[in-house]
Amino acid sequence: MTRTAVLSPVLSKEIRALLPFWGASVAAIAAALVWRESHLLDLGFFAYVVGSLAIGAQSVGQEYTYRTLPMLLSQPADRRRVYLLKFLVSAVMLLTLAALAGTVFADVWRQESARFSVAIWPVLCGLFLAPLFTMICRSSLAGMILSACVPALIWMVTLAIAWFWFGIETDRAANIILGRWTLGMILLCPLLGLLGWRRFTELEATEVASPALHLPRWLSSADGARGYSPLRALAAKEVHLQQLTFGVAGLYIIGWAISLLGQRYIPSWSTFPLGVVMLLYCMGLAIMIGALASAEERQHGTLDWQLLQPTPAWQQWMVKVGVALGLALLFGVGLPILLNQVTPLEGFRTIRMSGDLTVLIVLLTASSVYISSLSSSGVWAMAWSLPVGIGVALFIQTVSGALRWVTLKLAGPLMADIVTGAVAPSSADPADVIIFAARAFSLTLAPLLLWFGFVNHTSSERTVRPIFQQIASIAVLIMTGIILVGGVLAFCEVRSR
Amino acid sequence: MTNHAPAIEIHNLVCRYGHTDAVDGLNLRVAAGRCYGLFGRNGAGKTTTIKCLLNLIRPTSGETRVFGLDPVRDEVAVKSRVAYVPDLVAFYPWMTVEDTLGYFASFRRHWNTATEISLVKQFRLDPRQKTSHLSKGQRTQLALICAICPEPELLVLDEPTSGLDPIVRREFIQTVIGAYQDEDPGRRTVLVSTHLISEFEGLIDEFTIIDRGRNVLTLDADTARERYQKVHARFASDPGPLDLPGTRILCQRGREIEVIVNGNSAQVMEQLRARSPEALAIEALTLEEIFVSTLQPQEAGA
Repeated sequence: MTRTAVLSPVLSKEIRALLPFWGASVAAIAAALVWRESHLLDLGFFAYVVGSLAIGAQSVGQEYTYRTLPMLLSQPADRRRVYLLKFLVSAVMLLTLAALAGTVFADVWRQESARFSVAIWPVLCGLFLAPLFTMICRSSLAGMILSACVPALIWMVTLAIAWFWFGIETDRAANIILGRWTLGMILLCPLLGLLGWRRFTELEATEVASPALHLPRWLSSADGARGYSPLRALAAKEVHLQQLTFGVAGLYIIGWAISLLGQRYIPSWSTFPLGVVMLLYCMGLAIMIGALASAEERQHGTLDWQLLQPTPAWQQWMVKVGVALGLALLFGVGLPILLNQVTPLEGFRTIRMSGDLTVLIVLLTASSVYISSLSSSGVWAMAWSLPVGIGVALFIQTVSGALRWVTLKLAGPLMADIVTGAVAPSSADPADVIIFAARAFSLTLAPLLLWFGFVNHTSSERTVRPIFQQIASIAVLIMTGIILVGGVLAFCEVRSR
Repeated sequence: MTNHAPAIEIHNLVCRYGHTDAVDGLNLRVAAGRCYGLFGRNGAGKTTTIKCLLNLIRPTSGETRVFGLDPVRDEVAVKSRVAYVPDLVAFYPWMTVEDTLGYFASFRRHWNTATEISLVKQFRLDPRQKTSHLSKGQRTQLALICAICPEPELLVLDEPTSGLDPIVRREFIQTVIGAYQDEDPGRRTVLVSTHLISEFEGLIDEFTIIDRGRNVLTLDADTARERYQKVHARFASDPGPLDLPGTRILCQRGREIEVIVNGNSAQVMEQLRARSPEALAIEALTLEEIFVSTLQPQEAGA
């Protein structure tokens, strides 16, 4: 047992704990750089933000995730040094990520003045806010989500104040405030860092429940469930596991209310990209709900005895999935539609509130549930969802490319364009065909993902082979879907001739 | 100055979680070189007390001292002399046994590698095995190695033998903790919180029984065995109701009676002898029996 390591064990442990999150973000950004397609760049940027926040939250949150906080804090090391080391490791990782993101997304951030701000705010939030919120909530995932939501809300409030007090137009104010806000954040960082440092030096290794949302008693309490069926008790437990969802939905309502006021009193508010914000909220919420579903139970250490309860595992899983999908549809689709019905916001015109959004939310939730079933904590599932999403998008692109190449060789360039959806068949609306096929495909893929999720959730086995088999099955289904859509489009073309 | 200070001193410790008093005015004094037992039922406040001692929880009020030092103000100095095995042992899942030992060794100035090798061998742990693949008992064994190898002056064990099989448990208590203390008897102190009192019977020098966060009984183990005794008497015929002040009747069935005495054995024996019993015997209570009779007098008497 030799101790000849290049790095000190403490330093290498910190690096090792954050490396998967850093690696996932780098992979996502690198994939976006290689393919440089607009939707992949958007996803890559989203992965950069999520990755940065995850790194910040996990720098302290890993001790909660692995339940090692008592062991760490009982070691004879100055807590200030321990925190400083965590801070430095996450700072290096976040700054390298920011440098990479700055290079890759420079073209996307057209406004040069905004580039620095957009690149740096995930770093600031990850470095100073995420650890602080993680320690306050005693949860990495809560720390990660709050460190994204709180600055966004503060930014919106600042924007409104700029107009009310100083009468600056929203789009101009946005530019001014983004710069000032970044400057303010940079100035505020030492204070936030000090708060985080102070919090860590006084951190308690306690199992006492962290600050939590209190759901209505009939919905959440175990006492209330005693008189009901076990399925109702299970549903109440699942709802409680998802309490962060209620918090995020609440923050969305606050954001929507600010936007409503802004739209009513600030003429130029309509330029604010509300549609994008809403789409990010819907997608982020679906991913978060799925991430919480299985992994959080594993992290709490309750999974095994929960599965051993005398209720069939498939019923427990159905309740879990039902609650996850129900909440995703309720808060990810129903809430935005409801709020938009009450008072339509200008920015929502760009977003089609249709069945597509519902299908997208179902698919995202199912995918996230599947990733969650393989993860040890919600923050892991959340951080890996985006790189996996980019991987799937690239796979679809590759398969489409291969299909195009084969068709080009067999039937010429026109048919190659048609089977990949680039050119419409002579008779038939390709958009309808593609939408129908995409919906049908999603509705086939979602149950498969949920089935595999069930298999993983009920098994403690984590060997590579079954996971590889699952991934291969999903890949085969995706390939089949692409080929079928291509076949349908080709059939439309042949029939029209 | 700190050399002569007791290993642990607690004055009026109060620790509240919301409306619950986990510890409610606890007092404790552990002299250096002793093996001290902290006994109590589930939720009695043992773990909270230990966590307050190690600055893992801030007490609501009261004072704690470890070797005369304040665990909050002199945190590093205190922890340099202390090793702790928590009730819930957890390690970083990607580390192997060897990595974990290296990781914890890096925090210490002193680490006995020979002890480490010997204990790893004794517990049959594979140094290359990942900690995520260890059983609960193996994780506890690893935590114990991590605690013993720095040879601390104070070893704090919170339910250290839970999850260990009986052979390893006995081996651990006798050869590991016993040997650890024997190597430097006047200096090395052990504070052990456990339910398995009988396992530590021969090792405990002094103990405190706590209930609902308060001291119920603090005694030297030998004194406790002298004071708490069980007297068994058999008479030729039913003696009828006996008036034995200062005792607790464990059972009285026909001609036989069994009572627990608390420091008044001579007086009770005298009273019983006066009734000419056929047989009269006295034996010391075990620490576990003292614990049960202290906390559950009604049930024990039933």
